[in-house]
Amino acid sequence: MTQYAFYLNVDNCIGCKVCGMACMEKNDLLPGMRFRRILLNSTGSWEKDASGLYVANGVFAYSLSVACNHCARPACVEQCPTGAMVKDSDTGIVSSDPETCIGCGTCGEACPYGVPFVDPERNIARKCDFCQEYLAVGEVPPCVGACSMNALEYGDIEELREKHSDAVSSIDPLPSPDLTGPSLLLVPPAKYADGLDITNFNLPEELEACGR
Amino acid sequence: MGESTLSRRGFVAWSAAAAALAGGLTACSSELPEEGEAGGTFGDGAQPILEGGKWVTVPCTGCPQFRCVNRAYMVDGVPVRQKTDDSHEYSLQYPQWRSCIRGRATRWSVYSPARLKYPMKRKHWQPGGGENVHGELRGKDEWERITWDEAIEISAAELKRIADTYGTDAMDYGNGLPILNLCYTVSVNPRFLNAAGIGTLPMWGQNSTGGWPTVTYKMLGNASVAQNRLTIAENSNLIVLWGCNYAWSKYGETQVTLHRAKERGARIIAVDPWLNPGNAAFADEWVPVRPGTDITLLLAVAYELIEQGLVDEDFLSKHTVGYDEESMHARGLRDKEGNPIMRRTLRKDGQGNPVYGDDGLVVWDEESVIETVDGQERHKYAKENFKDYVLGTYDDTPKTPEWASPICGTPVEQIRLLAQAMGTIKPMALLARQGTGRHYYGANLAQAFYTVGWMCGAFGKPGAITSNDGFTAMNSVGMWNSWFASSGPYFGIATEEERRTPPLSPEGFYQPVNPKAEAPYGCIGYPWDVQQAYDEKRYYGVCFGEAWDAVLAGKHHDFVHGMKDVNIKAMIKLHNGNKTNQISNTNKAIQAHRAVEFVLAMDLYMTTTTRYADIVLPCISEWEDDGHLCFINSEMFIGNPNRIIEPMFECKSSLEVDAMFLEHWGFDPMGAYPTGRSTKETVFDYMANTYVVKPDGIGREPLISFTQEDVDEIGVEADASALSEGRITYQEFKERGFYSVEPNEAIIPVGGPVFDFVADEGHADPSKLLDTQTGLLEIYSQNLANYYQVFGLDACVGPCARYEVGPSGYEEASRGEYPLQFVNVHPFHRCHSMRTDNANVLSYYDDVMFVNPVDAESVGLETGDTALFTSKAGKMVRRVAVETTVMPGVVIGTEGANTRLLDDERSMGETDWSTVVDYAGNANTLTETFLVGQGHLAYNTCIVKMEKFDGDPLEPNYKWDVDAPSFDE
Repeated sequence: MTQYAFYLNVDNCIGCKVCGMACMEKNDLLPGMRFRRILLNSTGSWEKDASGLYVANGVFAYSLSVACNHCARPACVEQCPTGAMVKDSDTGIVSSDPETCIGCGTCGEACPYGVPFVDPERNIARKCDFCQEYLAVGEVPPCVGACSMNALEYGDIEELREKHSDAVSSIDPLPSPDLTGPSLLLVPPAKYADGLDITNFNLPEELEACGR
Repeated sequence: MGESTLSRRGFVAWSAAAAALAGGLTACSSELPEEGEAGGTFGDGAQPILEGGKWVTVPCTGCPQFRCVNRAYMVDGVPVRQKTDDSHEYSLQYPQWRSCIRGRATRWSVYSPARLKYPMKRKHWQPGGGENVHGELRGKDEWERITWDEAIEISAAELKRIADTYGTDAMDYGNGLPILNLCYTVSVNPRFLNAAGIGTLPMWGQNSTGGWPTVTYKMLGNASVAQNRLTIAENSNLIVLWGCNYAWSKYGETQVTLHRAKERGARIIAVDPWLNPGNAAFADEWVPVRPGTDITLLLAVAYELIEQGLVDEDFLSKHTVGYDEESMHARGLRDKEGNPIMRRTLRKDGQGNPVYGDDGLVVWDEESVIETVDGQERHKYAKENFKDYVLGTYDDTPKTPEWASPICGTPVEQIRLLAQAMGTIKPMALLARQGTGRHYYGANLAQAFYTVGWMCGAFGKPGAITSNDGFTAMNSVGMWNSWFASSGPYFGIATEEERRTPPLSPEGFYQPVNPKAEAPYGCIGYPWDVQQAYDEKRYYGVCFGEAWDAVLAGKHHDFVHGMKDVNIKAMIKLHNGNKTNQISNTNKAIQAHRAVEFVLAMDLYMTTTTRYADIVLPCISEWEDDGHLCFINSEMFIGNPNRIIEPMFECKSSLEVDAMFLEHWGFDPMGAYPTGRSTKETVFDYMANTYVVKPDGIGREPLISFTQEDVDEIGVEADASALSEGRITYQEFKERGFYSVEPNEAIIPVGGPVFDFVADEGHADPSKLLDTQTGLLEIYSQNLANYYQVFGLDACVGPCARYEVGPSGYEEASRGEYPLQFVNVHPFHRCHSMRTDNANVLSYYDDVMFVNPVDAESVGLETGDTALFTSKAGKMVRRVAVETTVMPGVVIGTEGANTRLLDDERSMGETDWSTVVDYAGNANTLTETFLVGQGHLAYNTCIVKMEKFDGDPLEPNYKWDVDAPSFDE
């Protein structure tokens, strides 16, 4: 079996959000709906020195583009009351069957990343399905093909892991990978370290749009 | 006002149907995509792969700076999906030119429910002047749909009446013209008014380039310092990005260049008040600096370079004038022809008016800078050299890091380290963006910037470059680019000898010029010649910053001639631009609009310009025009002689409308077209005459070959036998819609005039000197100070870089009523004021204000809260995002949102300008008017007060009602 996964070199992500727009465009999402979020994060503080000047202390920032992580143990699948949310045994892709879905929103609440959301017009859960129909004909998912820094890649998780041995499966503000086993590989920014006080300064609707 | 209640999704299907029908396609409406599908297909793996259509390359109007590949999958004339360049394997040597968020969302802008559909007239406006104008209701009134015939007839008659009534005073060149042209490209003048002998009053100045251009021309001349992106990426070991926001403001090759430089291990330092998302990824280090104070940082870097012994003395002594006292005496006395350099001052009378000589020209008092001391020629003003200023030799103020730090906000130690890096890591690319010069003393910043770069020897060698991309290099990160069809390194337009078609502007063709100007197309060239070659008899027009005051007060600064009366009674915006919104002080702009008798405007959407007009005309998008072509990306040629979609509703092109006016008055309508041919013929002609460099770099060849069938298919008259040679066939080209070159060593340009200049160390060869007064790089430029007086505004620049305290800068913020500095950056979600219509993009970016936690906490604001911002010019509300990447004391917002005043929507009464609030967040609601320097708009930064807003909190912009009048069908 293959397990499709996304890889992002966070150190090269310039926060331009074109991956999100390519996704929105291809999937005909209404304004405000997201299959892919681009989180803007910063850290550090400003403190006055002896002369009264504010000096930056450990300030840096990074942008983090994340979609569905098509987890090894997807909480959305586990908790879906109708069986609409399924994980494909050949590709590892998690997707929802619109015919079976009742739009209850349990999946979005169960997902630690808050990925699935209920489309109010169609009353069904929606999320990234890895553009399976593109993969089926050998085409690149639009988000990956859009990245002007070539920071976003996709493929089988084992092959990606081999290619990018320095990658990790979570950085702030994403939850622990132990929860669901995300198929996600990230190269953290150069100045990143665990335990920093990272602020996610996205506007409320950015998070709202993702059901958080 | 009747706001449209149509849903966005519904509009897409509806307008697509309208477009298809208007185009006479055979598809009946029942065969068109169902609602929701015209804009794309649903996800969830449910939709089939695309079928039944084809990919076409579409024009991208995402930005004016650099064009990337955007393609649309067209089914029955309707775009159902977009994609970008996937024509070959991606590499940093030969990248795919992948588009940005704006380009990617273009179809939503083209098919926006905010599109204007019909000509309209403001209900309470009547032609004829007087009370029936009801100017006070502009922006508040209702709209009535009218026909094109009515629109042309009413507008033509009213413009004629205004010209006849208020006249044009032939004795006072230009000043009497009563119709102000609001078009962005000031050289584009409505031809029908020219043909009728009326003309328009143009504007002049710098909206983009700030204080940079004249300084550049006088300090280093006309030669481009540009280097290829790969030359920089592979050679520069230090890249200093001074005020650059490349991820937002200059997409395309900048990412590719910095990505490669980073991968190679070049050190990248970002100097800026804000650690923007692009720099967060590109840069190893961020040097914070307060807006508009960076000249002090540069002077302190210069001081440290001297103190640490890191100055490239060899470079300075060979190639520059005025660095130190010795240099002033040795190289600053005479111009390159050997004439003494003169200090010139415009002679004025007691009232400050110019004095005219017998020849009718103003008088310049001249004094040689040479004095003879002990039989030797010496420079009288040698003490004004740069080094002694930095060291404080004569003003007792050494420009130390300790001196600069309290002003610029950069810690002392960081200034030392920056200087150390700049002085030791070679070669260095020192790159600034134009915004750094868009403040009061922007010209002084430019002077210091070049000087410090040259002190490090960053000039004229591979990877060694000091550049303001707008002017010295004409492009991003100081690289080659081809704004003009003939200027790129890889693609170019045929010379007269190479042409494969008859010349454009055929014999007998006449394009009417402004009867009040000798220059082509009716006004001063924009903006280059005024920066270099002012002619007091030929130049006229209102400086950008003074346009609204000129309307309201009836007078303006007329270059060397001092204050002159003007009598502006009408405004017209037939072509591109949105000046009402996009130059300083929009509240004043609205008052000016309300004061005149007639405003005619044309656009795709309701903008601030159309909102305060009387007659509004609906414009097509580039997708609906008869073809498009683009040379801006120097490594790619894009072209298509056909429309992508049919014009929507009753929309027309600006040239078409100009032609309609010409015809209405009985003139030849072709006079509207700059080339004397239709848009389609012109696009075809450029395609037929585009040359590409040969793969071995030796010579060039036509890009496209055409057959008679191709020419017939396009629908133009041409001799196909003359067009049979070409790198690729038209059918091959059409399939892709663009052609990009794969750079290799044979074709990558290295060198050029500035390389030749540096290589000629003794400067014995006059042909290799620079186009400056002395032929050398002028750190001290008497020529600059002399020339700067022609603009007639606050000259505020001397021959050599100096720190001066301007109005509404940090120095005032730190002690006044407006304690924060507001910087407005180019938005990433639109091009200036275009695409405020696109909810899809707005849902990813909103016009928020980035605020440091220190400042947010001081007034009790958190991310998502709505704040009221007040400046000396106006008030606006914005939501804030609180983050540490902004310096304390600075707030970062975006320019380009179109003003929306609650007062307009709620009251038909008089506007109280002291309380009016712009809830859309137009940056120019806050920026003030300054009349300074080379007529540049000092609007990149101003000072503001921030407080919690006690009214209704702002909703995210993408949820707002569509702002477009609707009419019963």
